[in-house]
Amino acid sequence: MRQRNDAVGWLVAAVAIVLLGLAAWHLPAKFRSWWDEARSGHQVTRLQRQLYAARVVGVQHPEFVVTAAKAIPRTARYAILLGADAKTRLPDYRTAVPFAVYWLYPRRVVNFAAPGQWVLAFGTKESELPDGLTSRRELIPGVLVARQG
Amino acid sequence: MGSAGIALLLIGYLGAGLGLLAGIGLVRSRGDALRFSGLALVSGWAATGALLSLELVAGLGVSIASVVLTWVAIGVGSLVAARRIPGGPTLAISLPPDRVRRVIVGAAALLLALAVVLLAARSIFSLGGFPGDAWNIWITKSKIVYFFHGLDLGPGGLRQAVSPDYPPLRAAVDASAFSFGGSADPLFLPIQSGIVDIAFLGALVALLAPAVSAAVAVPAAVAIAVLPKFADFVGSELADETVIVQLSLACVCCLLWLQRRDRRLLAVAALMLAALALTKDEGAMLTLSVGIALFVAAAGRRREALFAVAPAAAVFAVWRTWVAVHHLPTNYAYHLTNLFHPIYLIHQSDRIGYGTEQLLRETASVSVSFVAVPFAIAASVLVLYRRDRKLGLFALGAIVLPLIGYDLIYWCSVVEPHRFVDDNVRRVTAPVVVAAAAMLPLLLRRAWRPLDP
Repeated sequence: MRQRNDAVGWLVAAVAIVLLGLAAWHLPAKFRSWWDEARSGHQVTRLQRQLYAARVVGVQHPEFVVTAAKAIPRTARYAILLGADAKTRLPDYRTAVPFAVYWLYPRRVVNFAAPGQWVLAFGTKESELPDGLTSRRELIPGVLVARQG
Repeated sequence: MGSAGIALLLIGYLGAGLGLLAGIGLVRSRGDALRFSGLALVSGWAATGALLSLELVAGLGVSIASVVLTWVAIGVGSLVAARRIPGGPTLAISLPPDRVRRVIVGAAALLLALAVVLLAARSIFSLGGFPGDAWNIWITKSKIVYFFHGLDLGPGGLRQAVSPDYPPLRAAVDASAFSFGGSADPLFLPIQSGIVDIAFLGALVALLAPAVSAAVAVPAAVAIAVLPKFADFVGSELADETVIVQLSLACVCCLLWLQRRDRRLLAVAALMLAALALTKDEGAMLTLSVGIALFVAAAGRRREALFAVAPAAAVFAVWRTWVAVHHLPTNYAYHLTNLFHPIYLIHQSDRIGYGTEQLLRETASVSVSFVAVPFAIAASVLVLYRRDRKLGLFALGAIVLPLIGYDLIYWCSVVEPHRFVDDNVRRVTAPVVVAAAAMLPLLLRRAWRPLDP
């Protein structure tokens, strides 16, 4: 019985040593990476940090959302228009569109822009845009913001 | 108010949590308050989040006033409870008598302090590189709650969000951070969640040390701090980050309750499970798994065991009723009703093999999981061999049942298996791995010293 107890004791000790050994092995790299991340975060501007989430998922020019937020009033509603060229002109549109929606709160996104509401168009040709748009502004090549007249 | 507002919010969580712990009799002196400050912060945050979630369901919004009123309610409830519930024995941490183990405690405490400082710095100066799901699902919902004063279902509201049927605790606590910070700046969120994660490490030390000695508890906390399944989620703003804390503390408290029959710890477990059920749909599955494991293990005290899961079941039922009443679309990725269609399951049988393989690979990984799950399962078997059925059965159930649950979800899912599993398995296994690692010191101690009380 005592021999069995000893065997279990050795097993327990081995598990504890392996676990702590793995932790010790990872510790220096983890500490260094946390320090590097904190230092990088300290060195860049707040806006760059706020936009970094978009860069992580491959949005190449996330700054367009900042300009869009300046163009569309906070209480306004807007619709997203996806043009036939979105895929070719904006390879990152699949992530850029939801990032724009996330960024533009509290502006409410609607399915269709009624008169007085706004349009955020991705990769649209001139012929695909609705009539009567005013206050048109190209945010980056392929992305346009405008007000439905 | 900016970051100062977030500091005030965290102090508020700490105060509410200390009140709660005083109410259940766990904190009755300054020493207790200091020792359990980590658990208090996590408990205050979980209780505030759970109550704010219920307030959201009732049609209210989240603001500084609503958060402060929630704290007042927690304070009053705790005061009433403290007068009725007598304080139990102090769960004190004593330094080991011999010099070698004192040196171990000192060195591990230094490393833990360094880890805490670095994690705090990383959270405060977060680069903001949140994963896509974090901003597309969770932070978006928090913005909806903050800007539209509640669970708004109008244009651009919850109905149009991704996974609108997911419970609202994360949105509630994040909207609180926006309110105290003074704007919907996502960079406030890692400060809040990072400090809660750090408090979780402190809570583990305070709970484990009286049971296994500080010479084991402090190094274990250091190991968990650098465990990739924990560290990589700190400040990620994914709901899994929250689930890690809630599930791990619930499991440790349940295990300690089984060992010590201390009802105060069962109350903490009940709070964590209720918060867990209000965080994610899968949180309900995890709560059910822990509940089943506890019910099976707690022979002779099953009525008390039910107390741990009853609040979670009640709040989850409230949330699902709200979802049904407002006809919100349910999760597109899987339908649990598919589990009752044998032909569908037979047709999908290849998924279960792939799901199992990926779950095992993630949980048994040396590099990201430190083999914590296989070790905890082996330790549970050793504890069973030592004829401690309660601890062994609970730990085994709390680790294995969630993995079976995830496998069933993969089996009944409607999304292409490789896409669904590959995208999901890294995140969902993290809470199980950290919970297993957190329970491991108690299990190893039990296996090592079978005759200890």
